[in-house]
Amino acid sequence: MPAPFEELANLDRLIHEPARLAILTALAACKSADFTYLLSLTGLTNGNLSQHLAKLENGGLVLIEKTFARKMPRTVVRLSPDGRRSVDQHWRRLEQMRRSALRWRAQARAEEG
Amino acid sequence: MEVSRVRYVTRRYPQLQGLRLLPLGVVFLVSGSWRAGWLPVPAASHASASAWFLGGLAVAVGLSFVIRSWYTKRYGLVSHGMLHSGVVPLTAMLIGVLLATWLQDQWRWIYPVPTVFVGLALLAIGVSHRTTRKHYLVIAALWWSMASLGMFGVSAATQDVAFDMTIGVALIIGGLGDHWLLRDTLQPVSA
Repeated sequence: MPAPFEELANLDRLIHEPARLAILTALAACKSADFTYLLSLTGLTNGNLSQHLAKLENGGLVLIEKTFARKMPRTVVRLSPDGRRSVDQHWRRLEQMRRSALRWRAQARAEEG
Repeated sequence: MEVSRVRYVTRRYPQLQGLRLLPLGVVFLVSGSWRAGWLPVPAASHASASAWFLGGLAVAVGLSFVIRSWYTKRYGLVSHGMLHSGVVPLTAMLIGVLLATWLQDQWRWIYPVPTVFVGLALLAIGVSHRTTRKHYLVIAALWWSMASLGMFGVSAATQDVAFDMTIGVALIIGGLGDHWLLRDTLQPVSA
């Protein structure tokens, strides 16, 4: 298998799943976000979002805090230091892969021609 | 979902709650209409007109808090560190305007420095964020048109009307544009 595809197979699946990647990317752009914001961003159902957050929490990527605001329960999610590093690293890897895929395609075309 | 958009909207979420600007825009439009004599109200003294304007501003600020709660309920809440909140650009803008006003007082240039500064800031937002906030280019164009009126011999009274109207329309365009960006990126959460 050519190199870019091998790299793709080696990506961390905990992070790379689309909904989780959207959650982590949003959290990387702020200090914290509440459950409602993540729901509105991802369009997931309450149950699905809870499951994804539980996976990310178990993986040590996010910290979840349950509080009360005006007697209403509020769940606030933030990236752990490890999570922030992992997301940054993941996006860097994707960018590198994109570049190497472009190089690979150009090389393949040159060989065909 | 577009990654750059997720990042952009999350980073600027408080600033994109555009409907919060609408009441303020209406106050300026009413003020401009009153100056132009389009409102069927008796001519007030300068002091009472100022009091009405300040009262309108106070109501608009109060309404903006109500609208913020509506956004929180509909789309949720995002927290930012002090450096990434809206406080920094707002403070920079305020300092810039104050500095420009001081420069204007010192040199008395024909083209007002504070107006130029605000026009450049609006243009900079429109150009640097043109994929998401191109409505700022429209606002900048409006602003520059208003600022150029003096060069065409338009009277000071008409310029005053144009000033209020431009701020009102700019706040409404900016507010709606930002709100639409938010609405197109986030899906409202049903209670």
